[in-house]
Amino acid sequence: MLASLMQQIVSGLAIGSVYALVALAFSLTVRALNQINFATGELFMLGAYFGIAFTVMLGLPFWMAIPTTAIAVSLVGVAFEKLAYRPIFKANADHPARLHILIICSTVGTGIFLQNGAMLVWGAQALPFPKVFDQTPLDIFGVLIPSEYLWITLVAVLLMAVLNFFLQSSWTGKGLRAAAQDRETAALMGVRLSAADSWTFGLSAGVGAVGGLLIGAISFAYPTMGAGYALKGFTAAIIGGLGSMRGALVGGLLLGLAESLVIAFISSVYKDVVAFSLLLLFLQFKPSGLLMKPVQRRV
Amino acid sequence: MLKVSDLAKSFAGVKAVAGVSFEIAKGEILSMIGPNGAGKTSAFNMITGFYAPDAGSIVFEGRELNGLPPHAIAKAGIGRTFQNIELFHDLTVRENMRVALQCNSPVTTIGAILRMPSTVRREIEENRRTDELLKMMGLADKADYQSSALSYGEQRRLEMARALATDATLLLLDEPTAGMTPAEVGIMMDTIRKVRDTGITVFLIEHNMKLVMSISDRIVVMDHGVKIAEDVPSEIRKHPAVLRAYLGEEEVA
Amino acid sequence: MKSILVLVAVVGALCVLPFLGGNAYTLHIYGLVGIYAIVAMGLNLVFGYTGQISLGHAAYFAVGAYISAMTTIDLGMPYIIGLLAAIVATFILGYLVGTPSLKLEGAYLGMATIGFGEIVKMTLVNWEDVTRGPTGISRIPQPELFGLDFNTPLLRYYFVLGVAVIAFIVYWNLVRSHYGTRFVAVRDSAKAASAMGIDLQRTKTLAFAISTAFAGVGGSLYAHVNRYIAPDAFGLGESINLLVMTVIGGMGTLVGPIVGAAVVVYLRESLQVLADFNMLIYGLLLMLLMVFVPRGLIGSFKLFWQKRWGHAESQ
Repeated sequence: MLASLMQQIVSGLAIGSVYALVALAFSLTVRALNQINFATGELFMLGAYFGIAFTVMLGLPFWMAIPTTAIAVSLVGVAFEKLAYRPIFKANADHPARLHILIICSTVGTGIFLQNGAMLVWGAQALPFPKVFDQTPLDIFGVLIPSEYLWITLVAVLLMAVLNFFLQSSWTGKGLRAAAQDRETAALMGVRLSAADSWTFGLSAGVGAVGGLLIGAISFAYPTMGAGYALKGFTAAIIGGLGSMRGALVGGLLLGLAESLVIAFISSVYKDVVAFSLLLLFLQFKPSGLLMKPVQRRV
Repeated sequence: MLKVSDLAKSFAGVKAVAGVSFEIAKGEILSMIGPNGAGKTSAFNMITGFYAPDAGSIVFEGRELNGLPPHAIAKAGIGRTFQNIELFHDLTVRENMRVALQCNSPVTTIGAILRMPSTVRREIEENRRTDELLKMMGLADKADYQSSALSYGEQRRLEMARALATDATLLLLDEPTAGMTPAEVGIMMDTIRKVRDTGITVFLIEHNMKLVMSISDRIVVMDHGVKIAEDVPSEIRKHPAVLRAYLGEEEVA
Repeated sequence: MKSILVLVAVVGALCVLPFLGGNAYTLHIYGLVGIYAIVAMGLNLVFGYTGQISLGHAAYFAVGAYISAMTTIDLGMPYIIGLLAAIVATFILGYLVGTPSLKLEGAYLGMATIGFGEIVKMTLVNWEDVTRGPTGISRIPQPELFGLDFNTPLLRYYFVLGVAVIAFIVYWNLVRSHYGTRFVAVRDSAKAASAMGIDLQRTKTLAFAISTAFAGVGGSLYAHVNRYIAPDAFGLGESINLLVMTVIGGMGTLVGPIVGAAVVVYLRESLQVLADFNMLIYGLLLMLLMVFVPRGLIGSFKLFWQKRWGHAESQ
């Protein structure tokens, strides 16, 4: 009983760290542009397929596939920003209510496009991933833990640390943070806003793609895999605080843990109910999440 | 008519308004002046319910307003305009007025959906009242213009007409002449007098000293969130504290 | 007066439409356009006029369909009772969901509506005793009014047309009433609206509940015209579809939703010939339309007209 509980917790944390990556993908665009990218799930899905392409077709080792996948999907994100975000933003910047709705529709359209594009290229069936992780379970105090879960958690947390370092310390990262805080002031300080927006979409796509790659690596890649993870990732972002980096990590791990405990103690049928209930509870009672300061409403 | 006592509000630790008290008598024009950041607009926003005061009370015709939401205060009879014009830009002038006219006479959903004769009659009555108010504001021929197509001065006057259409008995004007040409200021001055002559009390924030000195019955001077003077214009002109607050900022005309 | 004449002429033309080479299939498609137009009109009240977001309207479409189907089948009631029950149920549900949700704005509101939508779908799937679970409800009776059975494709088309015309008149009256201007006021300047005595929360919730009731009417028609419903058809994808209709037609324009419903239904049917490329092209078109026709077809047409013949007056 204890052993299976431990296993549930470890797998919960691993899945939770993937939720954290997706949460971060959402948070990046929300923080910088106050827009939700509804194609986030499909960029996640692309990560899994690109991972297969790089490891199987190009024969890259898995640790090389991670950065190449991230960069490749980032470029898709940048293209998407240039083609389907910026023109809409430019033409409707003075009409925020309409802009919101147009961005929802165009990102949904992009999602449909990517999902069906993947289906045409790779087929509707699930593609198996080559076994990349060592299959021998780790023995921790007599409890057998599949090592792949530990790897996933490690990679995800490492990626977030790297991204955090980039945003805090690099010149580009500082520009991005300035633009997210106050576009006008950032522009006066010399930040090129259009470049900043491309970076935001690129980073968001890359982070989400690594999440998809990690999930693909322990299961399959299939065209519709993004939707569920997108919803969970968004819920994680809300729990931690939409727009906060630490919030994404905390929210993701908490959600993963909560799901694994529900599976362990109640039933796996109710796994998805947990996410929805948490989403609605937080939206209702604490929309700013655990780690963000509530915004004081000013007129 | 309106009695404000010990009103206070801070934002992130900075005291915007620090314990201000004053009264407005029925039928007068009271102006509030003071340097930028003196807390004038914050005081306005508390009176109209947009900010919740940290402390103090606001009594309007015997009724405590502190704690009521903006729409309830509008219904109680306080109309306002905004420093940065806030019109319903996709609506016509007449439709802007119509939004305000339903402030104190709610319509029924069923009446609206079925477009019953009473609804149609009401619209006729509203059009009459709209024409009357627009005529007073010198906008009689603009009723069917999109509000965003009006000139700057006209938009300000439409905002006033709209505030009056809520059946306000107290009208709060936040810098009604900001950004206006001298000619437009002259029209605005006449308009404010006309409004007062219909029995409506006017309370305004204004930077244009010439206008303030010539139309106000009394003036309240604010600086750094506190009231530093309150008197008739001729006295305010020579008040030492006022001169000090304004020294180097603006000449008291 | 002029607008009433136009309405009469258009309805007349729609009555003649089936005789211009209509078969059972085209009649079914026309019927679908009518049904979706009703839902899109309602959504336009929320998106176009009040400036709020809902990404969960398929749920109310579903509730309307299920309530109506179950009232007629399980309770053995006549169709009209099923329709009325659908309207009442979706209005109340919309009010209950809207009251807490509409305190939120933008992205948060969008996600809250998705959340409620998915909960409704999960309920339909899992509450098998009542909803019959994932298999759905089949053999739903055809619409019938006061002994008149709408038992041919042509009659069903006329039935949908009739309900759609009534829905349009209600929607039109609402838009030009005080409610319509109040909705736009909330969208254009929430600040000024509340200074005019408008209770923002109540107004937004009312717009939302009215729009969910429109979705309920559409759902009821869908159930009895299609005669088969299952939870699968009412997910997030369908909510987005409904939104797309409103946006493509032109948010905040009177006839935009109707045009949008026709365009989307037509596109989806005609793209079928592309087989596997069908959804790919649909996604691409969606992106392109948002980039190039942000005001929607009717909105862009109006803008063009104003520029061409234009002056500042709106009438």
